[in-house]
Amino acid sequence: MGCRCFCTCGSRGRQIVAETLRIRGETAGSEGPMSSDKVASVGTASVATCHCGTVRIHVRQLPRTLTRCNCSICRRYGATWAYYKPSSVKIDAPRGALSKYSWNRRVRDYHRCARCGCVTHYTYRGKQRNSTLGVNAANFEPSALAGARIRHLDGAASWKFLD
Amino acid sequence: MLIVGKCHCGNISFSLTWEPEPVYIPARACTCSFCRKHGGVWTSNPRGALRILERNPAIVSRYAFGTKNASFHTCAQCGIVPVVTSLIDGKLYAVANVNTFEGVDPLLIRRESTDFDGESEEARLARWKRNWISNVEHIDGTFDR
Repeated sequence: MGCRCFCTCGSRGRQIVAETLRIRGETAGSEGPMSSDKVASVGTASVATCHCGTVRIHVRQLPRTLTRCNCSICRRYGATWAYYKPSSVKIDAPRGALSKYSWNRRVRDYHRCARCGCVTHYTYRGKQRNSTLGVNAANFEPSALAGARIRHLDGAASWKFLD
Repeated sequence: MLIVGKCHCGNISFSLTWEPEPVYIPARACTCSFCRKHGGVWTSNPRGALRILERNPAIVSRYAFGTKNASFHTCAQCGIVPVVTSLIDGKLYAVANVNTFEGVDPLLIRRESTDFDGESEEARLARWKRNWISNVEHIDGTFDR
């Protein structure tokens, strides 16, 4: 059985990312609500890693714009999101290493490391599944995000940016 | 002041009695690798009283790392960490995550960054005993469901 999350680890277990990484360099597209995000090219892949190191998310370009949201789930996770096209992100996790959570209309799955609990990313479900993938930028090294702009989304009420 | 909080799915909830009435609630965004990745912003009041209810303790994970003195109560269903506890000299101490508060005026919460890098284990435990909530009751909700 393949991995239950919307990642590429499938039934192959942990990927050897250095060998298999095929990053197309896309940024968040026009489909998602966060299409205005811009990214800065860093030349080499950057990695967001959970605390215990089990889950590693590889992106080609570090985000220049991050989003903090005050909705009931984002504020509790304390997450800072960087938006990508799913095809531009590689998720490196052993089989069974990710847990996920969704609720209510189950629009998104929030994925986290099953061991240390760090929230690593979210994916959309159903027809929107190829639109946007949110990487929790808290898992990048802080120095990698120096200078990134943080925007504040009022996900709790108006679903508009407050700044 | 009575503050209530919970994880997203409600499996872990708490009530924090804050006395005397707070002028503000100090909230520490710890810069350690775990708290940074978890987005944890913690508060405590040594004169407060905390009641932690775990409706189904079977789906609460207690992650510990480093010196393993602190136990991060993580809901295994929704992944939220509402409280951290530490058993020091046989007594339970705790801090609560302000991100999980319900209905508290954000203006009441004063956030600050803290960096305890390099602090010895002994000094850390002494600080926790001094600053963390010392009146902590942990309730297993298994039989109340």
